[in-house]
Amino acid sequence: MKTIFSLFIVGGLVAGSAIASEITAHISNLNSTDYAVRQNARLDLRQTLVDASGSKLRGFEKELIAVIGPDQDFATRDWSIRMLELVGNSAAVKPLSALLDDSDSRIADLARRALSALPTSAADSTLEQQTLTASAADKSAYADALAYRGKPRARNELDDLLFAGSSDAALALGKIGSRSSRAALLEAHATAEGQLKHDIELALIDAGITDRNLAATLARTGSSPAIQAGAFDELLRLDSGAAWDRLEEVLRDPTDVNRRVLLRKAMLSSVANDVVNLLPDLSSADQSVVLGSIADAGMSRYESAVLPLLQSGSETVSSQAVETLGIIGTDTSYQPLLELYLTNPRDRTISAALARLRAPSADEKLMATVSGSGADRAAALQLLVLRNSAGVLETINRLALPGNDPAIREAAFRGMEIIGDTASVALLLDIVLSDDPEKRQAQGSLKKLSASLAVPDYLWNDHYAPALSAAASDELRKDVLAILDGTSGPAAAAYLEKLILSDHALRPDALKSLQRWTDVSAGDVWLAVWAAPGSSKQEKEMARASIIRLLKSNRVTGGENHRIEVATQAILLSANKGDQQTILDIYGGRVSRGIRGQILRQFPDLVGNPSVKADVAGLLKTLE
Amino acid sequence: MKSSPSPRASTRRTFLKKSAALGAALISAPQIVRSEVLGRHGVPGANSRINLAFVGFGNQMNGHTDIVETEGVEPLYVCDVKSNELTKAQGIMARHGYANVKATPDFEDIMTDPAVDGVMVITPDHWHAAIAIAAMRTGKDVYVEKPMTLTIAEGKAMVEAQRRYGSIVQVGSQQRSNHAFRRAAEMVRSGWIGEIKEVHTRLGVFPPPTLGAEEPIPAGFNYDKWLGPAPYEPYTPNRVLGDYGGGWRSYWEYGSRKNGDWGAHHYDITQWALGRDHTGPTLFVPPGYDGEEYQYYQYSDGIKVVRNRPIENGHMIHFIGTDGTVSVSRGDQLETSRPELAKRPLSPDDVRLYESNNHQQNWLECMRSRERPICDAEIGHRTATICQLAGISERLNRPITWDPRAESIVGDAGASRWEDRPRRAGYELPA
Repeated sequence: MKTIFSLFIVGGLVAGSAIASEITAHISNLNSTDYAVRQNARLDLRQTLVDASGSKLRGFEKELIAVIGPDQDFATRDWSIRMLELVGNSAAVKPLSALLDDSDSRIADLARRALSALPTSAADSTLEQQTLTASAADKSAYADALAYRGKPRARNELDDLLFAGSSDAALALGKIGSRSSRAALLEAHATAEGQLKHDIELALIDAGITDRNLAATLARTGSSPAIQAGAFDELLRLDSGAAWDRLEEVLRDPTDVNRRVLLRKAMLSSVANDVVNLLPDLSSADQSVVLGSIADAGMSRYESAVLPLLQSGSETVSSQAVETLGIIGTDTSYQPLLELYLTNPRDRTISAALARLRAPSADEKLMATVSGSGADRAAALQLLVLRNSAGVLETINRLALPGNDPAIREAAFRGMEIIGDTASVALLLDIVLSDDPEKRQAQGSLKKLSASLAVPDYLWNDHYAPALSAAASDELRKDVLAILDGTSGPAAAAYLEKLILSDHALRPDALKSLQRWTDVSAGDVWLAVWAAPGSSKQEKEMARASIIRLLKSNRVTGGENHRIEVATQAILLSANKGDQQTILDIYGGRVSRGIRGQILRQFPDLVGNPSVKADVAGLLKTLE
Repeated sequence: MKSSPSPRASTRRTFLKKSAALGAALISAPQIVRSEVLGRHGVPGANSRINLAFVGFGNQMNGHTDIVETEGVEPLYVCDVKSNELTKAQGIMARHGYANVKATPDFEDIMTDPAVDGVMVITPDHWHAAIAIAAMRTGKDVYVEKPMTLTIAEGKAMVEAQRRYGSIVQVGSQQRSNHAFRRAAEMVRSGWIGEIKEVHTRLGVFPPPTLGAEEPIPAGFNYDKWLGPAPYEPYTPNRVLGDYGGGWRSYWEYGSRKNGDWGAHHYDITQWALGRDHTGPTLFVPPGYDGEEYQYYQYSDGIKVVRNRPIENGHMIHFIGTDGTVSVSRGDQLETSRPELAKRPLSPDDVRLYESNNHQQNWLECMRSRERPICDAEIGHRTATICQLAGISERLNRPITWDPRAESIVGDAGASRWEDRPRRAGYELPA
C-alpha cells in the first residue's frame, strides 16, 4: 500500500511544487494547531471543490488523493476522504480501495463510505469484491454499502453472504429490491430459521412481495406482528379476497395484537366496502376505527352507513359519528344533526359538525326562515351564524338596524359577537350613542365584538373616537366609556388619561372605566394618576393598587416589555419599600427567557434608587 | 495518530440478534401483554394502558415527560447514551410516580420488548430515522422530534415504514397543534387574503460550527454511539451540547442548522397553509446568490418563501396575499391586515384543517383510534425535505432545482450526492 501512496504523493508533490492550486493552502491547514484556522480550511476547501467542475475539479481530486495516505495526519486524511465522498470520481477508486484495510479503522470506514458515494462502476466492483473478502465483522458494513448504492448487480455477492446466513445481506437485498434479489430471498426463506428467517421476511416486505401465496402465508404466520401487518398490506394489493379472509380471522380473535392495524389498512383499500358492510355488527371499538378511517380519508360515500351510528348505545361511537358526518356529510345529514343540536344546543361536537356540514339546501331553508315572520326566525339566524354561511354577515348587519323586530335585532347583535366585522362595530356604536330602546343589548355585544376583533387601536382611531366626537352629549358618551375595556389599548388609554388628568365632566366615569381594564396600557394611565399633583390621596391609592394588580395578574394583555416598563416606573415612583418589594418579588422566581432579557435591559435604571439598589442588584445577579 | 474509538456497547447488529427473540415472544408467548390486549375487543378504551419508552434525555425531553401524567399512559423505559442523563431521567419519572422505570443506554433493548407500544425519539436529528424505523419494524408507534430526518433518503424510508407497518408516527412540529397557527393556515387556505405571493419566515441564525482540541470523553458517556451513523469526529463538549443557541444543532453532521431547527416549524406551517403537504417547492436559492439578500425557496406557481427577511412586529411567519396579510407567532399571536378576519368563523365552504390542540395527546389518541395524526411521517418528510434542500443549497452556495413528484434533485449530480449519507460501520439504517 505504501508504494501506491508514494506514487500518489509524488504525483501530488510534483503538481504542488509546480503550481500551488486554490486548495493547497486549505489542505495544509486541515491539521492546523489553531482550530479556527482548521475549521475555515474545512469550509473553504469544501466550497472551492463544490464550485469547481471539469478538469479543474479533476485536478483538485488528484491533490486530495495525494494526501489521504498513511503518512499523513488523521485530520488531513479524514477531511480529504470526506471531500472525495462529495466530489470524487473514477480516479479516486483505487486510492480509496487501498485504504479499506488501513490500520486505522476510522480511515478504513471513511474510505468505504467515500467509495459508497462515487458514481462509477469501478466503485461497485471494489465494494462487491470487498464484501466477500472482508473480515466477518466488516461484512455487514459492505452489505450496507451495496444497499446504499442500490445496484441489482450486487446480487451475486450478497447472495453468497445470504446463503452463508447473513441477516445484513438479506436486509441489503431487500433494500435493493430487484426481481433477482427477491428470488434469492425467497429461496433462502424456504430453509431459513430463527433470526435469519425473521430478517428475510422483513427484507421480502422491503423488496415488495409479488407472490400472493407468500403474502398470505406471511400475513398469517410471519415471524412478528409487524411482519404480519406488512405482509397483509401486500396481500391487500395482490389478493383482496385472501386479505378479507385474513381480516375476518383477526376480527374473530379479540386478543390479536394487529386487530386495529389491519382494520385500518383494510379501510384504506379495495375491501373498504366489505368492512363498512360489517359496520353495524362490529364492536363499538372496531366501529371507532372504521369511523376514524372514513373521516380521515373523507369517504363521503359512506354517509348512509354512518348515520345509523348516531343512535349507537356507545357515547364514544355516537359522538364520533357526529364528528364524521360533519366532515363527510351532505344535506342528508343536516336534519338528523339539527335534531341532535336542538336537543343538546351546548354540545360542542354537534355544533361543530353542524357548522362545517356542507349542506347548501339547508342554508337556503334557514335564510328563507330568517326572511319570514315566524317565531323561529331567531333560532334560524343563530344556526346561520354558527355556519357563517354566505351572506349571513350582511343579513345580521341589516337585521340589527332600528325598525326590525326587537327579538330578531337581539339575535343579530348576538350573531355580531361571533361573526361581526368593523361595519358591525360602527353600527353598534351608532345604536349605543343614541336613544335606541335596544341600546343595553347593543352595548354588551359591542364590547364582546370589539374584544373579539382584538385590534383596539384600529377600532379606537377609525370608529370609537370619531363616534364619540360626534355624539350628542356626554350622557351618551358615558355608555361607551362603560364598555371601553372591550377595546382597551394605548389609543383609548390616551383618551381616558386626557379625561382623568383634567376636570372634565366625564372624569369619574373614565376612572371607573379604567378600573375594569386588563390591558397593560392602563398601567401608563395609572402611573400618570399616581404622579399627578392634582390627584387625591384616594385616587393615588387606587392607582397604586391597580398597578400592582396589573403586574401580578397573569391575565393581562399587552407586551411583557411594556409591563416591565410599568414595573420600573412604579418602583421609581413609589416611596413605599413594601410596594417596591412586592413588585420586585414578582420577578424573583423563575422567569421566562424573554422576561429575563427585558429585566436585564430595564432594571439597571433602578440601581440608582437607594431604597431598592441592593435588592435590584441581587435580582439582576440571579438572572445573569 | 489518535486512538480508535471505544468499542461499541451495542450496535444495530447486536440489536438484530435480539429481535428474533422479540418475534418469538410476540408470536409464542402471549403472556407478554401489549396494551391492545387489555382494551375492549382489541382497541384500548379510554382507560387502557399505553406503554411508552423515552429515548434521548437532553433538554428537549423536558417538553415531553408530562405525557406520563395522562391517564392510561405508563413509562416503561428511559434511554440515553449518557449515564448521568439516565440517572436524571429516572429521577424525573420517579417524581411523576414511576420509580421502577427501566433505564438503558441502548435503544435496542426497547425494541426487543413487546410490551412497549410507543417510542418517543427525542435524540439529535442524526439518530431520528434509525431509531424510529427500528421501532416501526417491531410494530411500535413513534413520536419523533423535528426535523424528522437528517437526509432526504431517510425521510423516504420513514414514509415507507409507516405505510408498511401501519405505525402511528407523529413528527414533533407541534405548531400544527396550536390554535393560532391553524387559524392562520385556514385563513390562507380559504383565500381570505387572496392569492398568496410571498411568505416570510423568521428562523434566526446559528453561530458557525466549531472545531476544538480533542478532550477526554466523560465517564459514562458512550460517545461512539452518540455519533452513531455520523462520521467519526474527536470528542469536544460543544459537539454534543444540547443548546438551543448552538451546540450539536450548529453542526451539519447532526442537524440541519436553522433551516432544520426552526424551518421544521415555520416551513411546516407554510406547507400546511399553502396546501402543499404532499408536494414541495421546486427551487432553492442560497442567501447572497445573484444579488438576492435572503435565502428563499419557490414553488412551481411562483410563491416565494423567504427566510429571515425582517417581519413587522417581529412575527414568526408572515403570509402576503393579493388582498392582505396574515402574521402569526407563538404565544397565540395572530395579526391580520383586515382586523375582522382574525376571529371570523369559517363557513362550510372554507377550508378546515385538522384540529389538534395538544401534539402529544393527539399522538396518544391516534395510537388508540389508529387515525392519522396531525403531522405524520409523510408530512414530516416533505417538510424535512425542504429543510434539507435549503441546507444543501446553502452549503453548495448555488441554487438547487427539485422535482417534488419524483423527489429528486434535477440536473446537478454533485448536489444529488447530498440526498443521503453513507453510514458508519455498525450503524447502518435498518431500511
